[in-house]
Amino acid sequence: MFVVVTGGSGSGKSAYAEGRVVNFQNKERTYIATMFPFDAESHKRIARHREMRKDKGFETVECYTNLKDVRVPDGGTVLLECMSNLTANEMFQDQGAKENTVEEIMKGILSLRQQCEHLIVVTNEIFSDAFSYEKETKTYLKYLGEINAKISEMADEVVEVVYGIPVYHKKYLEKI
Amino acid sequence: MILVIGGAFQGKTEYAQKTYQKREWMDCEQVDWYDCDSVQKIIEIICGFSGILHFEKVIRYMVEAKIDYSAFAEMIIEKCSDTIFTIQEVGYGVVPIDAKDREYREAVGRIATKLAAYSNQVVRVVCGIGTVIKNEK
Repeated sequence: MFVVVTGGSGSGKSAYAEGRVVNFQNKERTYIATMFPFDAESHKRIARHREMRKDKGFETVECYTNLKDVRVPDGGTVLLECMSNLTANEMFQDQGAKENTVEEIMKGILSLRQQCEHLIVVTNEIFSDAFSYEKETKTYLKYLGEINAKISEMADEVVEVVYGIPVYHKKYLEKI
Repeated sequence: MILVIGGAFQGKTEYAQKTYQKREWMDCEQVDWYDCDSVQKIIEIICGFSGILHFEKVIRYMVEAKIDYSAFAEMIIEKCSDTIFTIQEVGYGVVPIDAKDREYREAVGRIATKLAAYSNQVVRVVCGIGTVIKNEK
């Protein structure tokens, strides 16, 4: 099963995604952390997320760029959080993929999909601002929007979490 | 508790007032919060009404005035359990550059998520049309 979890800031998407992982009953759980700890605020965020998942049996793998080289246990469950950070890292970090960000990340997603049984990717709805951004941010939004559309096409389910409530944009139905 | 959520200018107020009648409404945008120096005083004002509009504005005030709102959602649940709140969804843009804006945006999300977990009904209004995304008896 491949699930894309999206939502706004502070919407409860992480808690929802972690809940889905636990429900899969697959004991081999990998958490791919993508937030680069560059300031006090990001350290605080990372600490909050660690606290949230500490009793859920995750093995944490840090990946700031080059997702396609990440190796996870065969047949396990993988939670990648979150696509908006990974995209920013690939675009703006020195060793990042720059203009090849979308392709490189998609290679990474395909590679993960081949290795694990269940994949949950958390991404972010950041596309509803009232004003237009500078070129760099615009490109970032374009890349993340493209990635979100591509992974959602591959996914079995696409769920938007609205204040903790799952709203399905794509739902997996068992074939009868 | 009922939440009516949605983007700005989507008709949340009209929807709420039309759908849930016989309520005493208070608009957080019209209140001068500046006398409130604690979360208790804010709760006291909110408790006087059964329908609260633009609830995000009081969260904005607490962030600006540096009032500790860490237990705010729990207090609202305890003291205003039958109230209707309209709340603007503010978390759907790029992460703001200003730290206060970031804090506000996250605070609205975290508080609304706690209230939504408690609410029997959550309605999301887009273009004046309400979609019930949670409904529990």
